Amino acid sequence: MAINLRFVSSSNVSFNLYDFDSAKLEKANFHKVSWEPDVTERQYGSKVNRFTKAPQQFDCTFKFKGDAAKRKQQIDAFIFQTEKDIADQTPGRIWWNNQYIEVYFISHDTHPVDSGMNWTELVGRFYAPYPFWIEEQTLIVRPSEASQSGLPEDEKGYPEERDFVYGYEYSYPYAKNAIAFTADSALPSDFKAVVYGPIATGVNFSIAGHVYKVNYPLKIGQVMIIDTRDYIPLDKRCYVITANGTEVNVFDYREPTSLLFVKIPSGQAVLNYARSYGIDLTIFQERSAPI
Amino acid sequence: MIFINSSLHELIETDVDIDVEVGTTEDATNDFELTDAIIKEINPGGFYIPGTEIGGLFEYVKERADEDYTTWRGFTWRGLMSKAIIMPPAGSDYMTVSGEANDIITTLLSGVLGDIFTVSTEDSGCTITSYQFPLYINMLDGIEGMLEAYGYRLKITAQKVASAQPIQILVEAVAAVVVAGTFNEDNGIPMAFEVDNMGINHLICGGSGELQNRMIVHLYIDQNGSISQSQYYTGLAERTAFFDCSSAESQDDLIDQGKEELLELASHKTLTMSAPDDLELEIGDLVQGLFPDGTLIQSPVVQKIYKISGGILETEYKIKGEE
Repeated sequence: MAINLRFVSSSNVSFNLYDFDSAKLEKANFHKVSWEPDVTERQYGSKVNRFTKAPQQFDCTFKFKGDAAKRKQQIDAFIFQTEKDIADQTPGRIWWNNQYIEVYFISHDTHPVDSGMNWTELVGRFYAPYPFWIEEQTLIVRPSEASQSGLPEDEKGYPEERDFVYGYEYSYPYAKNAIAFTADSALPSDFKAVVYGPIATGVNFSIAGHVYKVNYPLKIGQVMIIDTRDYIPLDKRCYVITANGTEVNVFDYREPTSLLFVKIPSGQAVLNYARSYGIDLTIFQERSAPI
Repeated sequence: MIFINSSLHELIETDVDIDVEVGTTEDATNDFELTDAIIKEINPGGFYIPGTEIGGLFEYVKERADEDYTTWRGFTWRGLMSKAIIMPPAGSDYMTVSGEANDIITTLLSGVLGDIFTVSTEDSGCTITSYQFPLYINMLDGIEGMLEAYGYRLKITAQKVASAQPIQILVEAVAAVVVAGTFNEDNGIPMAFEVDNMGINHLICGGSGELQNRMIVHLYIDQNGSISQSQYYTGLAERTAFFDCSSAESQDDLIDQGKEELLELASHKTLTMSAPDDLELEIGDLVQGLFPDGTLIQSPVVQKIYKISGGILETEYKIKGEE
């Protein structure tokens, strides 16, 4: 089966890396993985304290074919987008089927430079500051029918349609409060929970037995987001988006005993809550190499 | 690590590298420093790690036009406490206290630093009797000294106790833990045992006056460390030195200064201990060591350095007297 391999810049411009028009990614080491042991030296050997992982770098070779003007235009479009990522300090993504890794294209060279050839090689390097490939799994959980009975349609608080482009998603029967799923990753998974108001009592749900509780009531049209990801500084966030789009930091409203940015453990887990409101739970399942 | 605003409300949880030093004012700076390019975006007032005493308020910021990071410094909770003074009550020469330790600390900290500290209402089990604080001592040293005299230590813990409320800086007296070991490192406490018999045991002290009219006092130290004007070591064992103390105006003054000097110069035994790497100790806990001759000494933990790097917390300790 052909691999759906593409690069999508931070500006959402997509390039098919497997065969983008007349160009093709000839070589890349996307499956290169390296863990570093952090050890204390002992008389005999060492004691492993933990493992760390440096940012990943992928060396790539593209081959562009066709007439010179077309090759130049394609290379220029690709380089323009990758340099815009760098200028904006916002990474693009390499997609391998449904898995992605965030990258910057940090170096490149082309050859041959002689005219008269009908191909050009672009040799470059992607830099992945967070060295994991991610596959998103999204659970769409809407309020139970019992909790919504009697409410006008416009007060149910969750959108009728959502735009999920990538990953895979599940919806659940209205009657279930405990929703089982599998975090398909050997490592604990980050998640992003989008919780839809109105919720008079604040947000309270558990995942794998860990309670996430924020005592901030949501009005109609307000959405609370808990995002555990920490790829860039100040990334872990708990905030509310009001009906007019304003973001309000509500981290201070967490229940004192509730740690909000605890990842989901590997394997089977249960999302459990009263289902009087809707939650979209996106689980970011990590792998060191794409499959 | 959680950043807070200047009103002690939580702002955001994030990891930055930071060095934090806490301890007695003699041995520790009780401050912290971090360098970061991002956190100024949230205009933090301070930080803390819930359930620990790691935290404090930002009171120093340095930005340079040619660097894209900012340096932040400030006092830890313990450091802030050291910036208040225990004053004698009106009409008294000294502050003298009696009662349950937490009750006393409550009284001492009442109104101090905007009541930033909350003192435990629990009975600590420590009853203080007529403890007299040194004059104008800072609050931290005063409280620590009082508790140390009763085998207790000062515990500080920052924690969140209610949603949308300021964090609480809880202060309480708790019994100091005694970590015992002997010279053979049976408890993993690195120790150095030193016997120095090269010291002086006869000190000739010269006070005011000239030539044969100069005031002279002979001081001798015995094997128990007692100093008198009666000779103890003689013959080959006698070691003599002269102490020039021409500023001494009276014989009593000369004797007092001479005793101090002789104690410095005399032979001695020392047992120095290093803080163990694999024990969790707190400021004020006692590390106890045993001389080969059976003498027992205790030294408190006086400094603790927390280094957070890459999300990993490492701790170093210093015991009083440790190099």
